[in-house]
Formats: sequence, structure tokens, C-alpha cells
Amino acid sequence: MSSVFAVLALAAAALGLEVPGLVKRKRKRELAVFLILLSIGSALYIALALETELPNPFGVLKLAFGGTTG
Amino acid sequence: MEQFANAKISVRQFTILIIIGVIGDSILIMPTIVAASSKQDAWLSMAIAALLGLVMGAVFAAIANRLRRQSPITALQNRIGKAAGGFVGLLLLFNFFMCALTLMSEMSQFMTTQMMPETPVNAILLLFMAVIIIAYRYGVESFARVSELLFPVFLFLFLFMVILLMPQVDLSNMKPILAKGLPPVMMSVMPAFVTGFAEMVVLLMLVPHVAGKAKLTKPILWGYAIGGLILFIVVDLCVLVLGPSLMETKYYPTFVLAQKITIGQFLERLEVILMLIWIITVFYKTLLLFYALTAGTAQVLGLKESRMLTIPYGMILIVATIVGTPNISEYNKLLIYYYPWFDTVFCIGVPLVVLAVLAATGKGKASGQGGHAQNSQNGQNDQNGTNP
Amino acid sequence: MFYKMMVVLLCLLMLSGCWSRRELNELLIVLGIGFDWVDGEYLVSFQVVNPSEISAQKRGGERPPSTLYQGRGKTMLEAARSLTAEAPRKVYMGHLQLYVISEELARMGIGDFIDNALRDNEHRMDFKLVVARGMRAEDILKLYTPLDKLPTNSMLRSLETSEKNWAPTVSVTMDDVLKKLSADGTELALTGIKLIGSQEMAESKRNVETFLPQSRYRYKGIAAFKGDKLAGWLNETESKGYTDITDKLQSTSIEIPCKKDTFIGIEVTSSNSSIESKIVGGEPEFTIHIRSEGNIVERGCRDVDITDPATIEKLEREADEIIQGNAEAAVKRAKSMKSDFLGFGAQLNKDHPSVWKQVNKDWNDTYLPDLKIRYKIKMLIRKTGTTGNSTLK
Repeated sequence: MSSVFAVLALAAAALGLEVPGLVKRKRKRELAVFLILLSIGSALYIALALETELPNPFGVLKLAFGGTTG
Repeated sequence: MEQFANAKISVRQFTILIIIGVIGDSILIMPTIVAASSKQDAWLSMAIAALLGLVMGAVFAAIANRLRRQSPITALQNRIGKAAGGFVGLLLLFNFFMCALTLMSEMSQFMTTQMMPETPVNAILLLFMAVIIIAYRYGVESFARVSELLFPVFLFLFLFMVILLMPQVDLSNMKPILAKGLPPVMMSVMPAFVTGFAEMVVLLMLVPHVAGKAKLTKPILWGYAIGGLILFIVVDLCVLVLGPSLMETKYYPTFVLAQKITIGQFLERLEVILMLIWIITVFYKTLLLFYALTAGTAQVLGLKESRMLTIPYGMILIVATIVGTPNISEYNKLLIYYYPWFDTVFCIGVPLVVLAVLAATGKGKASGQGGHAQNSQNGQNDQNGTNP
Repeated sequence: MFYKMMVVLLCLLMLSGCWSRRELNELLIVLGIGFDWVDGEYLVSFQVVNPSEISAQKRGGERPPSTLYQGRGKTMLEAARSLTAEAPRKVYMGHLQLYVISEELARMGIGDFIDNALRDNEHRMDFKLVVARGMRAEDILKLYTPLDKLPTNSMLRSLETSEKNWAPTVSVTMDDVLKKLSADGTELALTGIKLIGSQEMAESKRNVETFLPQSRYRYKGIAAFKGDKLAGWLNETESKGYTDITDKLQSTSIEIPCKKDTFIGIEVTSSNSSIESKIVGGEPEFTIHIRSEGNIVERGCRDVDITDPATIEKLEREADEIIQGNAEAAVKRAKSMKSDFLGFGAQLNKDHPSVWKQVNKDWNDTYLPDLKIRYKIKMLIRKTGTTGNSTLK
């Protein structure tokens, strides 16, 4: 559980670091992308901390190139 | 804080970044992979891979020269439209992401295998990622300058290691030459070539920042040549000093090489200092990939800033690394069997497509394709026959 | 401002390296390891340093300089960890010097437990391996040695020095073992060590209180392996032949008889050897080239005129014969043991890989016993010390 809090703290730090600047400069699009990515990142990290089974990114590779041995 | 639109790195810094990037993680893991198939002819595999690497470098140089100091993604967006260009950009980004994953995996595995076995992988990755993020936020110019500073350190340590190992070189370890013929040698060429040389397609993302308007063929080829030479020397040393069995058995033969340095029973146990070499090269290659990923995302999405993407990307990368490498055997299998094909498609195939597009939409047809270039990385856009 | 603070805080995080920290007083520094096989599992003995006893400052003398901890287990790790039930700390392998394998275990095969030493990140590959001859490895590690407080140190130095200066011993490091066990056409050979004298005295401090210690160690003979199993022991002549042919011999002593019980002593100062392989009529043939240089250091027979070049030549020829005798003895032993520890196969592989491919499988059993071997030995006697014929009558 403490790791979940750590992740949230990190996300909050990221928000604090970036959002004021972005808002001030009126970068709406950037803000949106940032928030989306940050949510994805935090969600993934929290999922990892809670030891949920996450799909292996290399699984894509194996599917695509599976069966071919070097 | 404006995006580093006008950040300029000198041609020399560009070359140095390429050299360090080529060496990258290959210096750590290549000797084992290459030795698996070609054993005592590993040096031959590496030589062939380096030569092929030069060819690859020439291809990248051709692309770079046609880019006219734009990033490949921006250039494509300009020439074949935002959608198509963005799509190719996404392919490139996917490649950078996967590559960054492999690099971070290797770094964390090396640390936890050899140096700090009890430290959780999370801590190592977090720290590494934090440094990369900070380096990125300081801008291209600054990390290019640091590379210029670190390069002599790297060279010094490298030469130090090579010279101190000379007494232990045993030429008979090379024999029998080509005992099993060429096929096993060729089998090892593929991973070596692809990991060191093809993966450096990321250098194309640095092109917008290189100062001046001169052609980039020389710096790129020099970078590949020197990087390839250093890798060749390393593999040679591994074969000659360690011998094929040791090289194939141990996962990080360059570490064993450093362990073997003993001069007069007094200069010993230097491997921790020499670790600096690998940390520099792995760090820089990861940094280049991260840079390409983040800046590239901004280009594909038409964003004016990319700085804020660093932390989210950092988190995603860390999670992906941990999930992607549950254990070392799975990772190695991936690296040897599946990853070279991935690299072939994305680091050779896609760039070739880019080259073709650039060549086809070359002079006179550039820009003026509805909308102007969105991206603020636009330094010198001096195409002829421009805006109507 | 905030940013800079973050950077500073991050530098603190560098201390994550301290995660794996082990302070000096948490280390159990292992100098020697002994492997025995007892009741179906490994008995691993760790000879660890007792730092206060060997420190120059404190006057110790009450406790032994090293202590032996033993653990049992089915794997090396189990044995190593099981001894924490007795020992105050966890073992640290970074300074390992000597690895003693009992003969019984060597005959069963060493490949299994060697693997741990290869895999572990704390082991360096530079420790030496020896075989405890006819006794348990643990007994070797319980010896009080004169002169050197740390017994493993003494054994290690002795191994290296005798390899350089006496010859029938060879110091083999872990990576040599890996090379020899992985390669085709060459077999492993390790030196044997044994205790002379009473075992009881060995373990007690009284051992070093007398002039001549009651119990001493001695390196005796080279053990030849077949695969990873010990196959047989070489005697002194054969051992000398072994080190000679494998180019490990640097200096040794040759005694040439000149009268019934009197000898001329020759010190070999350098020796280079190589094995040459040729294919004659489809069959492999080998020539052993040995080129040695030496000095006359003892002239036992006073009627031999060593200022006469003809005498020198005669002595050189006789030395050649002795060297050849050693070499032939080693070769004969290799043939009878069907174990190519001299490395003929490896040489064939290097020079004629295609032929090697064909004979590889049956090399030890079929080809080796009938191998044709020629000898080209050349001994050059250069000097006779600081006198010629002394004036002793």
C-alpha cells in the first residue's frame, strides 16, 4: 500500500511541476496529452505495485515474430 | 521555458554521441551472444557486423542529408501529409520505446547480477530514469556537451583496460580459425549488427539540432567506424584473453575482462572503476532513445512542448521494463531469437521507407502541402521552391 | 528552486547502492573451501579469517588465526547458508584463495558443484583448485602452518612457487578449469595435496611450537581427470613430464648420475615447449618440442671437467634423455589412462580441425593409446655458476 501512495505522490509531484507552467502558457493540447499519459503511467505503476498481472510488452514481438528462430 | 527549438550541437558532439550510442549496450552483452554461435571466430562475426554497420551508416547518412535539418517525423509530415507522416512517426516511436525497454532491462540486470544483487530492481530503474529525465530537461545542448566531456574519460578507461590486458592475450585462443566454416559465423553477425548499428536509427532524431548546413555523411560514418572499431577490439580481447568457453559462459564477459586485470599483484580488482565505461555508454544510448521517444511524440502530435511528457513516459517505461523481463532466461531468448527480426523491420525497413519517401518527394516538392509545419523544432527550413 | 531541491534530494537517492552494503564486520571472509561427500550430501568446510588474530597491532595468540565452519547440504548454497546457524556472519567469497576437493568427490565428478562457483557474482575466477589426496578436504583446512599464520595463504604461495620452481605441481585457477572442462581434446589436471604427520597435531597450536612441525602439508602428484572425474594420479616423473609438455614448467632440478651415488645437479632456468601435429597417411602424428636452458649448479663428481665444452655437450645429451624420460612417462600414462590430459587433441583441433572432427568422438579410447609421438628435446647448458672446476680435492 505504501508503494501506491508513493506512486500517487510522484504523480502529484509531476502535476505540480508541469501543470502551472502549461496553464500559464495556455498550452491546452499539451496539457491534455500530459494528463492522459500521466494517468496511464500512474495506473500502470499502481497496478504493478498491487501485483496485478500486466501483459508483457514483448508479447507483441513474440506474436509477430514467433516461430522464427534466429 | 521554450522548447529547445534552437538548441544546437556541434558536429563533433554529434559524432561523439553516435560513437557512444553504437557502443551502447553491445559492449556488455554482445560478446556472449556472438560467441554462442561462432565461438572462437567471434571476432570475425564482429568485424563483418561492423562492416555491415558502415553500410547502414551510409543509409542513415543518406536520410540525414535529405532531411535538411528537420526531424524525420516532421519532414515526413511536411511531405506526405500529417496523417501518413504521423503514422510512420508512430512506427518509429514504437521502435524507440521497445529499444529503450531493452536497454533499461539490460542495465538493471547487469546491476543486480554483478554489483548489487540485493537491491530491488525498482530502485535501480527509478534512479536511472530520474537521471535521464533530468538530462533531457536540461536540453540537448547540455547532454551533448557532457558527452564531449565524458568521451575522453571513456577512451582513457577503455585504453587502460586494453593495455593492461595485453600481457594476458593468448593468440592460440583464436584457433582453429573457421573450423566449422562460415555459417555459424554468419549466424552471429545478425544480432551484433542489428543491436549496435541498426538501432542507432535514433540518431536521425538528433539531426534537427546539428549546427550548420553541411552534409552529415562524414560524422555519421566516422561515428559508426569508431564505434564499430571499439566493439571489434572488445570482442577480440574477449576471445584472446578469456577464450571462447569463458566468453560464452559468463553473461557479461567485459566485466570478467576487467576482473582479470592484475599487474604485479598490486593493480587488481579494478572492475568497479571500469564499470564507468559501461554506465556511460548504456546511459547515453538510453538517453538518446528517450529523447527520440519524447521529442518524437511531440512531433507526431503536433505539440509545442515535450518536456512535460518526461515523467509520464518515465513511469510507463519503468513499469514496462519490470513487466517485460520477468527473468533473465526469457529476456535472453527474446534478445537472441525475436528481437533481431523486430530490429530488422523497424530499424532497417522503416528507415528505408523513409528514405524512399524523402527521395521521391525531394527537391521542389517540399512543404506547401496544406498547413505549415507545426513543429517548433524547425530550425533551418531552407528548401528551395518553397512557399507559394 | 524546487527543481534544484529535487536534484539534491535525488543525489541522496544515490545511496540506494547502500542497499546491498555489507560492513566489514558483517563479513565472514572465506579464504579456503573444502568439499567432501558425507552421507549422501556435500560437507562444505569454510576456512575463514579471524581478523583480530592476524592483525599487526593487537597481540593475539590465544585463538587460531582462522576458524573452520562447516555446513552440509545438497547444494553449495544450502551448505553455505546452513552454517549461519553456527557462524555469526554470512560468508563473503571475494577473497577466496583455495578450493580443496576431496579425492572421493573428485572421483565422483566435480562438474556439479563447480557450477556454483561459476555462477556466483562474489566469486572471482582467480582461486586455485587442488585435490586432497587420500583424505578429507576438511582435514587439509585444519592445519596450523609455521611461517604463515594463514594456512591457505601458505598453501597458495607454495602451490604457485612450486609450480614455478619445482615442477611436479601445477596451479590451476577456476577459469583454467572451465576452459579445460569445456574444451575438446584436453583433460583437466589438478595438483594433489596431503597432510604428512599426525592429524591430531595438525589442528593444535602445538604443531607450530616445535622446530619441525609434527604435521605439514605437501603437494604430491598431479591428478589426471577424464571428463570431470578423477581418473588417476601421476607420480613425480610423470608429473614433471606433464608440466614440461604443457609448457608450464619454468624451473626445476635435473640430476644426472655420474657415478654410482653421485649426481651432477642442473638447474633448468627456462623451458619452452610446444606440440606439433601433422597428418601422415591420414593418421595424426605429434612431435613434442622442448627447448630448455639451464645451469650446472652442483658438481658432485670431481673428476668431471665442466670447463671442457665436450663435457657440457655430453651433459646436455644426458639431460635431454632425462627430460625425454619424463615426457615419455607422462605420455605413457596418458595412453594407459585413456585420458588426453596433455592436450594432443586440442592441438590437433587447432591445426587440423577437419581431421579432428572425424576422430573427436573416439579420441580418448581409440586413437590415443596408439598415437605416434616423436620427441625433439634440446637442452642447452649455459653457465656453471661462479666457478668452473673448483679446486676441491
